[in-house]
Amino acid sequence: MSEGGEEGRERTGYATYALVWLGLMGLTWLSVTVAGLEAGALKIAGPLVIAAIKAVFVLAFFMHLKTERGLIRWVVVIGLIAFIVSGALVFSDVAYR
Amino acid sequence: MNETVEKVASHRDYAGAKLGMWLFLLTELGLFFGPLLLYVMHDIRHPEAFHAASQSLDKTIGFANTLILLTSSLTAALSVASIRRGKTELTLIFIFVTITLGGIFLVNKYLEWTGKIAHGIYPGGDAFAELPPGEAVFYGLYFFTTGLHGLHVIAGMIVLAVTATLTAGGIVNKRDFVKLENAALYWHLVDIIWIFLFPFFYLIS
Repeated sequence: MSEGGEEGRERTGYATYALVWLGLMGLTWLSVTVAGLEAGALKIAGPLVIAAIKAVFVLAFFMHLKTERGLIRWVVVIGLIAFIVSGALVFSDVAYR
Repeated sequence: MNETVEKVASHRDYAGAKLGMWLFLLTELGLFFGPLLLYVMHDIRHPEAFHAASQSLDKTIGFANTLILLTSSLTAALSVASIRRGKTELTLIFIFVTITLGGIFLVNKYLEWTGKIAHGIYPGGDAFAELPPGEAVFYGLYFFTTGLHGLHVIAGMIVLAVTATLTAGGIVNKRDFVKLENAALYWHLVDIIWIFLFPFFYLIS
């Protein structure tokens, strides 16, 4: 059966999910703390970098990209790169005009 | 002949189903990418106004809603983990908790919105018209983006409820759970979008 591979796929344990969740909660707290700091650049970049790290955690563990087939991983990575590049181009155009 | 019909009827394409879901999720990201780019562009033009407007949002509700949605993502992931182990009841409990947490998120959002609307701050409202241009743009983007996200939360809750029905009926089971897995993927995406909306609207301006 075609889904045989699906059942055989590596299963993530309940404990791993719980650990990732704890990490996400901690990172959320950290982002609020960083945003309250006086330091200018860190105040803006910090929460965004932390959000990106949280998104990677969700993608890798909750959405199983870590154990997903190569094709799906490539589709997602290429899609995300396209968004990042177009965002960076628009940002540089607006910020340094 | 009968054998062929049977084979066709039982044909399942997990790889195709999930690839299709991921492609759809990328288009969903694109939907929110536009408003966030607009946010960045206007934030550069009106930094003070964005800061002032952002300060008026309730960080505590935003923070609480982030924790709620992250927890709902955990329970969505656990529902998939449970069905893979053949634990139907546990799966249904996790789906129920996920939907409930989505509901709590929406209640908080409702309270937050009505607080602003009561002060006339909504597109077309009296106080809204008096706002400096930058702040009006901030609130416009805030209502549009969080409203669009809220619709996605509702859609996710409906999809999960349908999947729960299918699970209870045995259509989603240990050997065939791609419908639940895709529903959970959708829910995680809604969570990821909020992971970014939270710092943009509540923290960094």
